[in-house]
Order: sequence, then structure tokens, then C-alpha cells
Amino acid sequence: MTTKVENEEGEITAEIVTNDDAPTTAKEEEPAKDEEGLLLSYDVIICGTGLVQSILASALTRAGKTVLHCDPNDHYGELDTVWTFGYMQERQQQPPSHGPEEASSEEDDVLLLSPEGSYQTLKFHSTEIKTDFPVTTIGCKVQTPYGEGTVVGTQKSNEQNDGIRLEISMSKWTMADGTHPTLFMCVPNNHDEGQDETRQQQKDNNNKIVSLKSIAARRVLQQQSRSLALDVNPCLLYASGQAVQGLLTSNVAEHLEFQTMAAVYWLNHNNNNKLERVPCSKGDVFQSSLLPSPMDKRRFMKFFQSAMDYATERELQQQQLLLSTDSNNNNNDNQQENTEEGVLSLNERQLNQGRSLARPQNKAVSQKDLQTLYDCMEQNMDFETYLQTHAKLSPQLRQLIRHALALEVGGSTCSGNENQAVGLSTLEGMGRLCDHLKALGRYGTTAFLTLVYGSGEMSQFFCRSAAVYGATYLLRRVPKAVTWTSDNNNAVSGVTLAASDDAFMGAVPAKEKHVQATHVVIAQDAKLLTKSLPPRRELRRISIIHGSVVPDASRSVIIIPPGGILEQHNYAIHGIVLDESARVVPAGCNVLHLTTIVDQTKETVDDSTITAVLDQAVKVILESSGDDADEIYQTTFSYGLLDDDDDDGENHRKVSGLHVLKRPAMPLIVDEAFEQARGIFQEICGNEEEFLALSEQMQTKLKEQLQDAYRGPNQVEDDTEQVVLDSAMEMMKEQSADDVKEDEKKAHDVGT
Amino acid sequence: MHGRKRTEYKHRFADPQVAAGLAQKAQQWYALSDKALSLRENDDASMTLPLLDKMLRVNPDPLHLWNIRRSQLLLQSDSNWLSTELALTAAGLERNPKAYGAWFHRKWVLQRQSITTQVSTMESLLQQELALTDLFLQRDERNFHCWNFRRFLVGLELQLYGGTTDQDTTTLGDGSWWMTTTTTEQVIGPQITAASKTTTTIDSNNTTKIHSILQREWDFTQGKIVSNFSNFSAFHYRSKLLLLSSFGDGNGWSPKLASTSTQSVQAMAEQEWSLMENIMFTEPDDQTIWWYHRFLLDFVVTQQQQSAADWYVPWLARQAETLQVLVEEDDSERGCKWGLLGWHLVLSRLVASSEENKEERHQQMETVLDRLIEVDPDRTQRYQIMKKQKQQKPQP
Repeated sequence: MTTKVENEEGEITAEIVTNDDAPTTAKEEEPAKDEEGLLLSYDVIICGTGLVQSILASALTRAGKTVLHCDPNDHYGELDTVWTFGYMQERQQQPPSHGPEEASSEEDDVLLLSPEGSYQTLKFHSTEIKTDFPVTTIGCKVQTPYGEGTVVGTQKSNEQNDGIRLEISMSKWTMADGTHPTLFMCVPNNHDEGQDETRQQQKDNNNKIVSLKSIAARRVLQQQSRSLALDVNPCLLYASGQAVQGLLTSNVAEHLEFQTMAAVYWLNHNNNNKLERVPCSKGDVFQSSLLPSPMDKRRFMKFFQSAMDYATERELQQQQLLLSTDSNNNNNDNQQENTEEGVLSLNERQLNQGRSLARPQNKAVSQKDLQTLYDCMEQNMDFETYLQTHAKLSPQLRQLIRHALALEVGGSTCSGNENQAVGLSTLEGMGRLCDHLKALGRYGTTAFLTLVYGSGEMSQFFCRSAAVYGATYLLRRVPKAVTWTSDNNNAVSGVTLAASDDAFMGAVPAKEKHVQATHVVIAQDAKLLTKSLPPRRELRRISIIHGSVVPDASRSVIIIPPGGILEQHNYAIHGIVLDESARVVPAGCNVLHLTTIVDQTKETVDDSTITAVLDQAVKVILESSGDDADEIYQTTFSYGLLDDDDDDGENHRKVSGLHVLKRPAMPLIVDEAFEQARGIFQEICGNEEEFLALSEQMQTKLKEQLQDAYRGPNQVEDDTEQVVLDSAMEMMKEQSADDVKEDEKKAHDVGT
Repeated sequence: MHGRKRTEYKHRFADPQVAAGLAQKAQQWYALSDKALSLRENDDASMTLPLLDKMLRVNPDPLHLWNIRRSQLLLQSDSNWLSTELALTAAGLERNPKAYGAWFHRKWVLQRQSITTQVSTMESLLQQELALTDLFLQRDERNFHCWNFRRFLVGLELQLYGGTTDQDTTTLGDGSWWMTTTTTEQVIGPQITAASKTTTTIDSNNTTKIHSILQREWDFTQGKIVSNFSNFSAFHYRSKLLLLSSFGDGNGWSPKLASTSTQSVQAMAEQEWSLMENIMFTEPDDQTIWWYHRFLLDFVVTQQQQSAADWYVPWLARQAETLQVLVEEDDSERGCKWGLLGWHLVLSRLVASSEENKEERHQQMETVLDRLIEVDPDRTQRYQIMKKQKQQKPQP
């Protein structure tokens, strides 16, 4: 899909839109192209291949728009991609991106973009590889020159001054009486193995005692490092929501694999930092250790059932809204049906919801509670106050609901500082909670789905589907600036592409040029930073853990509330634990992704201060897991989060046709990306076209192109029933044929 | 058909191709049905059995086909048809997990097998079948056919070790029950075997086995309750298991408890109450737990003679207090109907067995019933009668 220029004269390149043999292009008037094979003018140019841009590209091409999608990097996804272990190490060695620089020319009609795209503020803080584990602890399993064994005793050696004599029980050898022989060996006291790597390796193979852990760790990071797929931004999907809907409408879901998240854990700092399961169903509620007293359970359930009712009512209202904005033709029947099926009807709307948290069929909706909720929303009460005064929940439960269920990020302890995130309002809080609740009980035990092979796959597959419907892709090509007409209209005129001297796979250098477009989509964080570093940074840590982080669930989410790790840290920490079943780590390992936000204070802070909170978080999580889990690799990096107000110039705000995407803070759930993409899609295409669905225009085009090969959606399924019946009929016929023969024979016998 | 919209399902028939296909199937089915009905005893079984096999795989519901099949099987000289019949019923149950005929046929086959087979072979066969019910109940935890089948299997298992308690568990395992008429006792319901109400003595080796089987079943219900406490089948099974228990004497079985080592009725009642309390507070509008509560109160009364009464009244008093809290927490228009009824029940039991605070409790019962009339006006007459009954002395 990557465009490769083959020569200067403008020969056809390997892109889809320039395929002259296709009947569509043959029939239509040949669009004008430049020497690279690009159209002179596009409907939309999208800069950067982040998830939102990728979804948007796919949606726009399906609606029949011509799209040019370019990215300065050599891979899809930007901050929403999956890094291989090798690529990540390469990336770390690159010099850190330059800080803010003064724009070279202050032109009124140009918006400069960063040559690195959204990567411009990416910075690595620390990286650690730990493949050496001491052998001098009792119970440690070791590899000796004579086979595997377990250390059962240590004592200071007399022979060597600083040596330690190990007593090793050789588990692979068994004596006649059933015991294991014991091996005594000396190791130097300061068991420092990292001095000389190559010599060390040789020694391992010869006559050294090495911990089995070290061997396993080296195997993972050396031989098996290709099975590591590390998400820059690991995301989850709600089992029912915008993302699932988008993936289904666009059929992109067919190319991806999904798995459920088995559990959501809450790091309970009131209970010795233990990981406790967040109740996600009635069964969880009645057993949950987070809800110790029966009264807690009652209030929790009561609150959730009214929240569910609110969710249902909200959904119905949204449907009504859609219907009323829809053309009012012959939809009367539908409308009638919907109004009747109000929240008061006692039918469970979806059978599968019955087992999550919804009220049973025989229970009436508490209109009073709903009314109180609406009143609180009217008053613009904040969520915390609502939970406290009306739902009468204990402080611990309030925190649980806000951070583990409404997935609130900002601090609960914010006081006095206006810059910090303030708690959600009741309306926002209930909205976020409802999104979560609606996805519960749909599939699996939690509301979340994860992608196999990493969530970064998604942006790539949306790009691919966009290419199938005719988008042109230009990777390794820097979109340098967005331009617009300087007359009164202030309409976007296009994008300037930087010159490319890239010699990738025989590509010939291309000159700097300007491509016209009616709409341009850019990411806010790809704008060339001119003023200062952003005020907040998203801090990420990827840890590879040997052993399992959470004992009884292979794939899980960990939520740490604000202040749960460090008193002064005002943001929640989101953790995602995945094992080999998600195909992102080799067997026997877990990957632990941690995400949080740090405030960028004015003075430059050293790396260790920034990373402290996540260092501590990993330590606490591994301690509470209790299992024999060790971190064998970790890397911590961060990138800037831009606020609305730190825009320079403001002048491009008034430009029509320029769409700026803002990366949300800590997007644990991708549904927000779909929402954002839909918003921009509607700005460009209006409400006529369905988001991510194939437009009629595209369908006819496809039919023409594929002609006979195109099949409708109705295909006959296998009918085993028919097969069995047919064979039974066959059998019966044979049988009756036999009977006839027999009768004839009898008749014959009688006759004779 | 669950979870499928009727309109969507019906919509398929609008397609002429689909409709034609279905019509053809119906024609074929009629032809095959006629053939099956005309089968006679002297027909060649090697032809008729495969034919019935195919028909029952397509539609496992018609009981007469299963009947024909059974009569054909009985005529067979060699009776080695266990595996084919198990496979057939399995296929049928896959198609319709609630086909009465298929379940009954499976029971019939196993029952016949148990007469002729050695204990050790039967043991492993039953283990397989139990594992199968496990899977079935994972698919649909409320399939009462499967629960009944499981009880039937356990009945067979107990029979292997001569395990009959005061009631014949084998017959009760198939879903039948004892009924006492004025003069005689008789078994009602679909029976696999002729009922016998005999008590035999069991040697101690078999006793431990029987106890471990019952304990395994108790733990099984625990697992099902934990995963979904709205599963009445599990509670029902639990009540049946409790009926097999005998607290107090050393030989009988009673559930082993996590909380305590003593297997007294008190300990069991305490543990069950704490489970019920948690469930009631999680979802007071789920009827399941209230039915089980009612059962347990009755059960404890029957066991009470053997145990000291000095815990019984305080146990009830604590329940009354807890339920009062539950009822008072609910301030919605519809109130907490089941909580009120449960509270009323506990209060009536208290009044019946203790003179303490009798007046106050009567007063409470009165208010509970008034509130019930308010929140559940449809059953006003019932509550009025309950009010009147309270005036009289409750039946011992």
C-alpha cells in the first residue's frame, strides 16, 4: 500500500487509485495526476496514522471521498502502534527529540507540522534489563554443570575469602533410597555477573551455577524477543459500544482477533495494598471482599440498578433523537414502538444483561431515584457529592465507582490548585458509568475486550481497509505544513509535503511540493511546538514479568486510585496485564502496561523523579501478587498531553476545513477514538452518510469492478438437517424396494 | 430460540428458496413418520433402527419414536447397544437440550445397564456421565432436565454401594416423588424403576463412599450458587441433599462446613443464613433465596428435637433484626415485598416458639402486613387472611 515512486517521468506507481485497468477509472474522466502519481487535489488529506486518523480514513473512503493519508514515520499507527522489541531498542537509541524551537517564519497562512508527527514529544526515561538473579538464596532453583537442582543451604566458605558454599539438592538425580544427592559448590560472594557479557555466556555453558530464572529471562529477551509485541498505548474495547459497532459496520472486526479481559482488579490501599476483584456482576457483588458488609452490598446494588435504568432511558432518548433528526418519512410505526417501550416496561431489554447488574424482571423502576438523579444533574452537582448524599455510599465505594467503573483519571484529592483536574460532574460521571455498565454481561466476566497481537493492530487494519477503497498512502513522507487561502474565506488550500531523499526499496527522491485539498485533518500533538513543553505528560511503563502478575486471571485490568501509590500523585494509574494467550509475550511471561499522568513542572525534572510513581506501582503490584514473579525488563517513557489553551497563534482555528484531533488523556478505552472520528466524519460528510458503512456510491463501484465475483450477503449455510433427512429417505426407499422384491419373491414361491 | 427476534426468524420464510426448502423437509418428515408408525415387531431391526436413529437425530422430541425404538431394542438378541444409544441421545440433546424423550431414553439405557454391568465398569460410566452433566450445566445452568438427570446418576451411584436412606434415592433421582394418600404411600411421576421403600444395612466401607458422594454434590451446588445465586435448581438440589442428611447421630451424612468442624444443625443453619443474608442484601427482589429461606426454616424445625433449643430463638431473633434493617433501607414506592414476607415469616416462627416480647412481635407482624397491603395491593385478600390467622394459635 505504501506508495513508491519509480521514476521521475510519472509512470504508474503501485497504488490503488492509479490502477488504470480498473473499469471505474476507465469510465470516469481521468483525474489529473502529478509526476509521483498523486492526484493534484484531494477531498481530504489526513496527516498522521494514529487510530483516530485511521478510522477516519477508512470511513471517508467508504463514503467515496478521495483521501491522501501521510505519515512521517515508516510504520502505521504513531502513538497507537505496536512496537517490536527490536524496534523499541532502536527507538531508544535515537537522540531525544529536540525541544521547542522558534518557528522560522511567522506566516499568517501556514501551520507548521513536526517532522516527527505525534512522536515529537516522546521521551524515554529509563530502561532496565534484569537477567541476572542471585543463586545464594535458599529455595532458589539453579542449573549446575551436573543438572538442575535446588539450593537448600548456604554458608560462608573457608577456602575462599569472599566465597559462599552452596548446598544444592540435585532434583534430577534420585538415589536408590529415593533421596536426591547433594552437591556442594562455591560461588564468589559478590555474584556480579554483568561484568563481561561474552565471557559470562561461555562460563554459563561450562561450570557455573546459574539460577533457572536467569536462564529463562535470557531466553525471553534473546531467543524469544520476536514474540514480544509492545503496545505504545494499550487499549481495550467495551464489549458493547461505539468501537464494537464501528468494527462490525466496517467489517474490520473480521481481520482482528479479540479476547475477553478476565478480571478487573483494584489495588486496595485500605487493605495492605492487596489486589481485589472489582465486582462486575451480581455474583461478584455478593462475594466481593471490597463490599464487606451486607449493607454495602445493598447500597451498591441499589445505586447500580438505578444507574442501569438511567442508562436504558438515556439510550431510548438517543434513539428518539436520531429518529426525530432522521427524515420523518414513514417512521411513525417505529417511533410508536419506541415510546411504548419506555424504561417502565418490565422486560429485560437484552437477555444477556440479566446476569450482570440489572434488576430482575419483577422489580419496578424506582422513579424517585431517577428523579433525584435528574435533579442533581440539573444542579450541576459533582459526582462525588451525588454519590455521597444521594446514593449514601461509603468513601471507599465512592472511590471504587469513580475510578474503577467510571474510569475517572483526575485526582480526588485536588484542592486549591486550579490547574489540576477537577472531579467529574454528575452528568459526566453517570455517562461514563453507563458506558461501562452497558458493556457488562455482554461477553465474558468483565466489560472489556482486548485485541490479540496488541491493540495497535487496529490502526493498521483501518488503514488497510481505507487503502482497499482507494486511499493513497504515503509513509516516510513528512507533511510539512498546512496552508490556507489568505483571503477572507480562510479556507484550507492543502498540505505541503517535504522533499524526500528516502531510498527505501529503490524509491527515487521526491521534491517538496504542495497538494491541494478541501479538508485537512491533523493531530494536535503533531503541530510543531513553538512555545513551551506541554504542561502534562502521559507516563507509560512497559514491564515484562517472568511469572504471573495476577494469580488467577491471565488477562486483567488493574486500577490504582489517585494517592494509592504516592500520596502526592493525583492521577489514577491504569494497568493492563496480558499473557501469552493475547500473543504479545512468550509463554511463561506477562506484560504489565502501566499508564498515568505526570505534571510537567517548570524546572526541568530528572528522570528518576518522574518515573518514581510507576517504579513504586510495579513494586507494590508484584508484592501483592505473592507469586514468584520477577520483572526482567522495563522501559518508561512519556509524551506530552496538550491542553486546549496552549495553542499558539489561534489563527488556524478560524480556518474552515482544518480539523484538529486532540489526544485524550489515558485512553484506556478506544471507544472515545471512534466517537472523535465520527464527529469529524460528520463535519466533512454531513449526516447523510452512515459512519464506517459502505456508501451506495462505493457499492456500485465495487460491483462494476468485481463484476461476477461480487456476491450478495445472502449465502446458503450448511444444512445438516437436510443431509440427514435425505439419507433417511434414501434408506427408506431402499428398504421399500427390498420389501417389494421380497414380496415378489414370496409371490413367486407361492406361485411355484 | 432464545435471544432471537421473532420477526427476524419469521422473515426467513418470506424468502421463497428457504420456504421451499422447509416445505420439502416437512414432506420428507411426513413420509418418514408414516413409515415409522407402520413398523411392526417382525420388521428387520437392522433396517428400522438406523431409520429411527436418523429421524431422532433430526427431531429428538416425538416420544412415540423413542417408544418404538425401545420396543425394537428389547427384541434384539444381543443387548450391546449402550454406546450407540448414548451417542444418539447425545446428538438429540445437542439439538434440543430440553427434549424429554431423549433424557428419558438415556436414563432408561443407563438403568438397564446398571443391572447387568459390574460395579467398577458402572462406576467409570457414571463418572463420565457426571462430567457430561457438568458441561451441560455450564451451558445452561437452569436446565432442570439435566439437574434431574444428575440426581438420577447420583441415585444410581448410591445404589452401587447399597445406599438407600430412608427414602429410595434412585427413584427420587428420576424426578418422581412419594405421595401419601389416606391409606397408602405411592410413587408419582416418571419412574425408571419400580419403587421400593426398604432400609438395608450398609457396611462401613460403603458408608464413607456414600458420604463422599453426597459431599461432592453439596460442593457442586455451592459452586453453582456462587456463580449465579439466582439458580433455583441448585438450591432445590441442596434442599434435597439436606433431606438425606441426619444431624446428630454419628453414622448419617451431613454437609461438611467450611466455617466449623462440628456437623451440627446449628452450624449448618448459621452458615446457610450468612449465605442467604449476603444474597438477600445483594438482590432482595430475587425470589430464589426467599424460597430457600422458607425451606430452611421448616427444615430446622424438623431437626430441632435433636438439638438444643437455646440457639434457635436467638437465631431467629437475629434474622428478624437483619430483615428489619433490609426492609427499612428500601424507600422506593414498591417497597421490599419479599423482605417483608420473609420478616413476617421469621416473626411468626418467633412468636410460636418463644413467649418473650410476644406482644411487640405481634404488633410488628401487624405493621408488616399493613405495609404489604400497601406495596402489593393485588394480594390484599391474602394478607387479610394472614392477619386473621395470626389471631389464632399457629399449628404446631
